[in-house]
Amino acid sequence: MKAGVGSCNPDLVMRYMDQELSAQERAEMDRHLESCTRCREVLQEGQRLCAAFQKSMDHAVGTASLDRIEHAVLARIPTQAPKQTNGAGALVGALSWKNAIVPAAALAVGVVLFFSFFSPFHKPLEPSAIINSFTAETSSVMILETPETHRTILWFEEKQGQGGENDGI
Amino acid sequence: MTAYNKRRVWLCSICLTPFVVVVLLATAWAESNIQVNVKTVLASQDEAYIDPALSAVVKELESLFRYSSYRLLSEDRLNLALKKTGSVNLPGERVLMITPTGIQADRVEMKLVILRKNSQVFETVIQLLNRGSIIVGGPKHQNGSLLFSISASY
Repeated sequence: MKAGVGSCNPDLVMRYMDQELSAQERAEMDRHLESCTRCREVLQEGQRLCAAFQKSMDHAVGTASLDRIEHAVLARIPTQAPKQTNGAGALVGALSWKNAIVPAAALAVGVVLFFSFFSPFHKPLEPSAIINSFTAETSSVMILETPETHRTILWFEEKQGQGGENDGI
Repeated sequence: MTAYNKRRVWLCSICLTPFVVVVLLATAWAESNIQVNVKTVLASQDEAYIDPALSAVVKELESLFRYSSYRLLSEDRLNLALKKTGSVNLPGERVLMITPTGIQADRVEMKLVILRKNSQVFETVIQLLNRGSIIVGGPKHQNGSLLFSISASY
């Protein structure tokens, strides 16, 4: 048997089935197939498989859903949590702890500053009163300051009919 | 500006607004009204008595004066605007007149005048610390001396 198209070669049979042979090679294969049972069986098996594959493809294409394909593809892509764009979801997202740190810190600083100036527990280190001027019908005057709270005391003795030492001091 | 950044600015504004409002209100209130409290006390050596309402004040006075009795005669509260004069009747036909004249830093400037039988016997201009007090004393009354604890806040 001459080697080539006229001999048993499963690859050539497949190429014959796929119409990849030249006209001359095709004529030789036709003559070979008339006498070779084995190659005819290979050809029939190949044609059967091609038909089954084509049928399956046609079925899959006919029943395919583009939306389902899109979702399946997107499901494979790692994504971040979508940002809420409206309603309560937007408020919750905006109020996450990361977004609240700066305004909370600003508010805390404001409260501390407020109470540092207005707190009743703030103890002064300076006298409670500064005396700018003093005028009195008096024989004596004393200006004192309590040791702990620096409270100013202005002590004077009325002159009219109340003379004498101040027995209290 | 993106929508996300707009929301952040809006939230920051909401959080800071109460603080700003409180400070502005406090400042405005401070500049409009002065709360003055006057306690009239009779100090004497006749007895051993300390009025419970004066315990904090007496604790400091005991180190300076030899009085054994401190009795609260009256307490008056005034709400004065700047440049407005309030008066408090004192024992012995006396009147205390208080006029806040201004606020400088954390002190309120006030003029204190004591009249006795419509005649001025005492006048002083002081700068009183906010929520601070001054004790003016010395006039004789009964068997002791009068002292006036004058406090102010704004």
